Amino acid sequence: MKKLIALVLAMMMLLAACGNSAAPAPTAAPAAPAPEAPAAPEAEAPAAPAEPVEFSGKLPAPFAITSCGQSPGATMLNVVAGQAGLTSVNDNAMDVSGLPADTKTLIITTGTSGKGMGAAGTDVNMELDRCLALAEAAKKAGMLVCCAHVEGMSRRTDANDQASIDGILAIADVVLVIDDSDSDGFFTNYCNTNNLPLLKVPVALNAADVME
Amino acid sequence: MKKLSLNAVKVIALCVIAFCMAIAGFLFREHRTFKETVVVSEGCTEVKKLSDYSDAIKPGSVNDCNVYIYDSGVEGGTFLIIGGSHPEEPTGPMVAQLLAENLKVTKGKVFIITRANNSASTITRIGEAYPRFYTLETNYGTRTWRMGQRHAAELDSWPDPEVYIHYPSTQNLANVDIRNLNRNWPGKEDGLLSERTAFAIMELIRNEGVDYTLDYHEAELEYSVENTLVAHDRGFDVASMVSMTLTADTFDVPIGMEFSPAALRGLSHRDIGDHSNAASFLVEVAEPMLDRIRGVTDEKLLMEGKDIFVIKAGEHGLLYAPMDENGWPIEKRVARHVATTTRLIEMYSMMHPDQEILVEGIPTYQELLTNLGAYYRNPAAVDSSRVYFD
Repeated sequence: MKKLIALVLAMMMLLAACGNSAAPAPTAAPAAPAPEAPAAPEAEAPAAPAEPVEFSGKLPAPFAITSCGQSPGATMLNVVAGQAGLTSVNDNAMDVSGLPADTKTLIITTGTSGKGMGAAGTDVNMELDRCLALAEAAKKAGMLVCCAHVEGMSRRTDANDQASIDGILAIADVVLVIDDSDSDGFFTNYCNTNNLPLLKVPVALNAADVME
Repeated sequence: MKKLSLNAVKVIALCVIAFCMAIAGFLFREHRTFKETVVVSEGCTEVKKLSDYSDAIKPGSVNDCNVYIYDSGVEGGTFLIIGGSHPEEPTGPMVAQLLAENLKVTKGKVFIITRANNSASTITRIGEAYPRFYTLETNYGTRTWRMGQRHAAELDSWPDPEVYIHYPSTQNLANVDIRNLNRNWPGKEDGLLSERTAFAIMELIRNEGVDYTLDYHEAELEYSVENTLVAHDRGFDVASMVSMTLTADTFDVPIGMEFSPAALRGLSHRDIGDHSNAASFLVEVAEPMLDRIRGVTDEKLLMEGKDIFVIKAGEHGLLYAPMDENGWPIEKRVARHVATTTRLIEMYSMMHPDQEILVEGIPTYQELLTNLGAYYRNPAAVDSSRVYFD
């Protein structure tokens, strides 16, 4: 009997160590259909942190922040984090090799800039490939992946914007938006349907309120 | 009798044509020679001409604009304000003049150009039926500005090339853009008028050690780069703070931010930064008169920013800025640019303490919304040494 109890306890400890009980439901098995993420290229993940990051209501620093669509939202969040005294790196061309190993939260901002993508010589499909590979590596390394939309409805005007939003939402552990971005309830409905935590702030400057 | 009648018809026709030419000539001349009044504030320490900075602009020539200087005498940052790049976007010169008439600098140094491409303010766009002038009621009377267009006058810049090859990138641009100041940065010393103008302003920037620049613009609501601050690479952090804070605490319609595209040449937000040590910024605000779908094009539309066809387009979701029966009045457009300028100075100073600039006297967003005319000064009420003409 003692051996059986010991075996059960050992299995529970193993599950607890491998799992993330506080994290939102993985989008691989959503409660309701979610947009299908394009297949991410194989990539080598950075070394895993000692403990998988748990989401406890705020986004834990250090942050790695990139933009899926070369819009300035990532720069804004990086500045906000910096002003709040939190460690953050921003690289809108970040690939897996550039993902800092000590990152706790990978933030991918969505919504696209035609000017930005043209200048960077990229398009929304290439951006999705890069960001999904990055997100996959981050997840393997135990990091939290946050899909952010912090530039309002001006970054929800066309098919490129929607493609970047849908692609990143599908792999996100948590969603961060400003009020204007969710003025039609799109993100609220998505998160409710897919059992994802939604962090909603009035404007981008208030993102510091949900960072720690 | 028949032959005599024909001659009479010819003479009458000639007289009518001559009369029309005389009227048109008078109107063109009145527009071209009209001088805008600028009553500089007591904080203005010197007024130079653009030709003082480069031989590329001949003294007294059409684009030899005034350069208003506000030097605190206290070491700090240096900031250049550029108004009038595109004279068909009327807030540019209005905002630059308003600042010139109210600014006091207590740390650092500020330069203001109100008519960067003066030649383009002496003509309006062919076939667009623009008003020649626009006016604002002030506390002392009516202030008048010249309405212009995007491009310098053909005769000032003649001859246009068949193909405009931007210098020094060699990028091919539309041939008329050889006369568009905001397609000619960083300029060319021996080029055509707009190239030489841009070169002379770049010489000012380089020789005066300007740390950052701001170029005022307006855009049609059908254009996606709207109500936004475009920043050179060195200005990303500052621009993002300006955008976020103004959106949070001042503007009802958010101001966005865009990265300056590295591949698109000739623009101030790109090539001023690439060819000097300055971080270059450009700000846009909505201007319904520039929309192609507008109706009657007159001073009322220019100043009130209301048009039923543009409103209808807004109802169908075809615009990149909100548009309703309130429109985009000149008070709001000027107030947004002034507030952006103030916030840019604050944020740049905060994030670059070694280049701090402290200013006083600039009216707030709310003050401008409620009484814009009060901030243009009466030339008759000050010493004539403070009155300049652009």
